[in-house]
Amino acid sequence: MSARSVWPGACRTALRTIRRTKGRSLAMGLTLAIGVLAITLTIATGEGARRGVEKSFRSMLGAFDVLLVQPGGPAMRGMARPGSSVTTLNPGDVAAILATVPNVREASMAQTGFDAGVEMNGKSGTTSLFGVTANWFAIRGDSFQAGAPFTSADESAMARVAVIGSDVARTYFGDASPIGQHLRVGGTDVIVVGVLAPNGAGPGGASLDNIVDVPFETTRRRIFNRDNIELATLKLANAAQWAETEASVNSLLRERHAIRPPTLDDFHVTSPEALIARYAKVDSTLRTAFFWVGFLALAIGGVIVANLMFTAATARRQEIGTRRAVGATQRDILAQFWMEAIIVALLAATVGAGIGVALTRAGASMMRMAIEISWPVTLGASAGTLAIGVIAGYFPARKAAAESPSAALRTSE
Amino acid sequence: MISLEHVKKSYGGRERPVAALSDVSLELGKGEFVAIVGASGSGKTTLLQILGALDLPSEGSYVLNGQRVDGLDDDELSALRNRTIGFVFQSFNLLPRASALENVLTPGLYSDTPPTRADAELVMRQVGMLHRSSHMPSEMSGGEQQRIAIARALVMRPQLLLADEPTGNLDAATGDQIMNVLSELHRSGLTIVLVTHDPVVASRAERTITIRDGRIASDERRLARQEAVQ
Ligand SMILES: Nc1ncnc2c1ncn2[C@@H]1O[C@H](COP(=O)(O)OP(=O)(O)O)[C@@H](O)[C@H]1O
Ligand SMILES: [Mg+2]
Repeated sequence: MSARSVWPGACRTALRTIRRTKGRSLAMGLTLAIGVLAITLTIATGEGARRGVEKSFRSMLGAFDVLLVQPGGPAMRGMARPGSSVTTLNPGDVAAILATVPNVREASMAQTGFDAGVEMNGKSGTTSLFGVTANWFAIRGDSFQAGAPFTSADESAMARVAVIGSDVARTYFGDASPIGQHLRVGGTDVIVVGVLAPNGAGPGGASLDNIVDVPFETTRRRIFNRDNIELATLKLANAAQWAETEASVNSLLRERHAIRPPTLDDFHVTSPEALIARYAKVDSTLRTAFFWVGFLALAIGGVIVANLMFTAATARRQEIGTRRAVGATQRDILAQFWMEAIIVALLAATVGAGIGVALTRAGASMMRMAIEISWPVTLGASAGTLAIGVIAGYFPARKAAAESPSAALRTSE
Repeated sequence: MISLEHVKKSYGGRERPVAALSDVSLELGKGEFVAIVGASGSGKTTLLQILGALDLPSEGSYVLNGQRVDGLDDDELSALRNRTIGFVFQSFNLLPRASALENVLTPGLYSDTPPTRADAELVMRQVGMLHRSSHMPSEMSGGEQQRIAIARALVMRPQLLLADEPTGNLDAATGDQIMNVLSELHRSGLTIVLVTHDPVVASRAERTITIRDGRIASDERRLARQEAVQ
């Protein structure tokens, strides 16, 4: 038989039909476009929320290959509550963890005091004062914009030295270099040895750069004069095994604190993964609902396309018969009707995704919303729409093609 | 050119077949102008559809230009219609969403050697419709639409033109103009088979075949009278 391809003619004919029956094409494409739009937008907001949360946690925690141990029971689960009155975690616990849990490679400890007074150059204010072990910076992966971290020698000497956040540096030293300068914090004079690079905002939106870090032993013995700690950060050798390690730490601390059911834990262990999951879940039900709205719109769109195409295959029997009379093969008719649905779906997918992406961009810049386009989802939804067009269009097209030319031509009589 | 032998055509299932044609044998020479007449339901359209390779006989053989038509597959029948046969219908059957020119070019969509725009304009001039080429069917009168339909039937340079009641939806004067176009085509050598139940229209043909109950009741040549009219 002839090697003539049926597709170019079918595309031209289908495009002409779509162009000249705009109402019908719009009816076919609209729900599909809305579906793609809804999915693009909901996933964009979801993706944005997740990445936003992840980013702020990364700033706060530094590294993700860690476990956080905090005093206070599971009822206090949530963000670290530094400076709380719970005194159930101490350096002995951390030493025991390091000694007995193999996956814990290193541990840093922190004592914290919120609202510590700062004075310098005639200015005064408050800051978060941290007493941290010298390895704190390395475990977090902090970078310095000036100077260097204090050392374990500073720690054993209970040295009056400090690493300050970039906000503190700007507020109290302006453009001058703070390195080697004095700063009065928590009633103690310290010498600035390092300035941290900016970390931005944490999950709560508060700045992470208004902080002063001094050696752990310095706060322990000179400033706070207490033994208990607010946070231990456990650096894991194998981050993938965080769940097992968390269980080992739990049972070790329960043993050390003599906790047996039904007594509740007086400490809690958190993993960054769990924190992020909990925060990113915020309004995920709403997003799931929107996603299903989009999904439903696509499904309904598919039904509408199939229905209108079936109607067309019946209403256009005379056209089918006439085309067959002038030489169209069954495959020509199949291709023409099929292409109508495919092209409408393609246009709907493009328009829906285009509007979705444009709205996401506009929303992101105008409302400074945490939304981010997820290209795999947008492209996936578009491809899904196209697939719906391909499937929904096929069966009516096959019906049109199977029509016998002589019978199709008799409809006009 | 055309030879039908003992052609039968029945519709419906095996249990209750309706015989639309029962035993039709027919020879048709190249360049003939034949009118098929008969009462409504006698089988005229069925016969024309078989001649036009739109349908196959249930029994019997159909030879067109020395080629057996019964036995061709659907694609081969489509190609045969595309290349060799032109159709004109009672209700014109123009594609409503295509312009006159696009309608005339439709058969080219289904051909390896599609006609050019110049080919289309040539046949449109032949039917006196060149000035309407950009019009849509809804903007044309019935007579104009039928002329466009004839141009579409001619654009592939067919050897056989089949017209089923081409004047059936037209007033007498317009129908007469359409018959003038067909007579002109006949004079230029085209083989034409025309179905009608109007004796005046039938009288324009050289030969009248009367169908009754799916059989040929009479077959008259009226060459002398045709010449006398001219
Ligand atoms: N698809 C069909 N199914 C059943 N019967 C049909 C079909 N097509 C035609 N017929 C019957 O065949 C007979 C001949 O029809 P037709 O060829 O259309 O006659 P005409 O064109 O002379 O009016 C009629 O009785 C008609 O009802
Ligand atoms: Mg008829």
